[in-house]
Amino acid sequence: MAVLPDSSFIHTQHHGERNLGEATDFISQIKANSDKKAPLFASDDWFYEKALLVHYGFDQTLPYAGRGRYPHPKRLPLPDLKYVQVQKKRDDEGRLLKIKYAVVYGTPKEIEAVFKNAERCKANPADPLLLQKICFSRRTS
Amino acid sequence: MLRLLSSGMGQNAICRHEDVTGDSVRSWIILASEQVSAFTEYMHRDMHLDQVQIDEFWSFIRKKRELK
Repeated sequence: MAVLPDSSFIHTQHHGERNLGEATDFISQIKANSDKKAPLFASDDWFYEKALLVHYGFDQTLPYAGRGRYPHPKRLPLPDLKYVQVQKKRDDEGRLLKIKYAVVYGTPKEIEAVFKNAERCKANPADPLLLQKICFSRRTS
Repeated sequence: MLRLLSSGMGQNAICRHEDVTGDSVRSWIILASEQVSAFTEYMHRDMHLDQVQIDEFWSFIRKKRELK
């Protein structure tokens, strides 16, 4: 399930098993229903890292070293892709011990800027920027 | 009628209140749901996303062991 945290709008739902193939289909649905720009993704510690790379990545051809076979192209994330994992550590009985935030794609500064912007919009409900974002309004520009 | 439905009134209560049949109420609900679906689909297109939170909900849909 993909939720937009600033408006609590459920953007995409996907039913299926918990595996990489289903996750890739799910990410493709999110991309199909958006303007194709990479947003900030936040998820639990699962395989979305690879699924995101399929849809929000590009192949970079590595230069030939001059010896042996030619290298395979490397899949790299798009420069504007940001992804944070919330890694939860639990004990044997399932009690939460520790929460760790791991920045997988993007830089901590970029991610902090997105979070700060979201907080600013929440603090000022009359903010015109919030009115654009909330209630899934379409961008006119 | 839709306002009464969204406020939590049941279909039978709406029939009594508005003096209409149950079939009429149900057909209006279907009409409204089609409109809502079309509107949501239109708004979904080219949507700009800043943040997306991905979460999973899971449950067992089969019995885990054979019942005796």
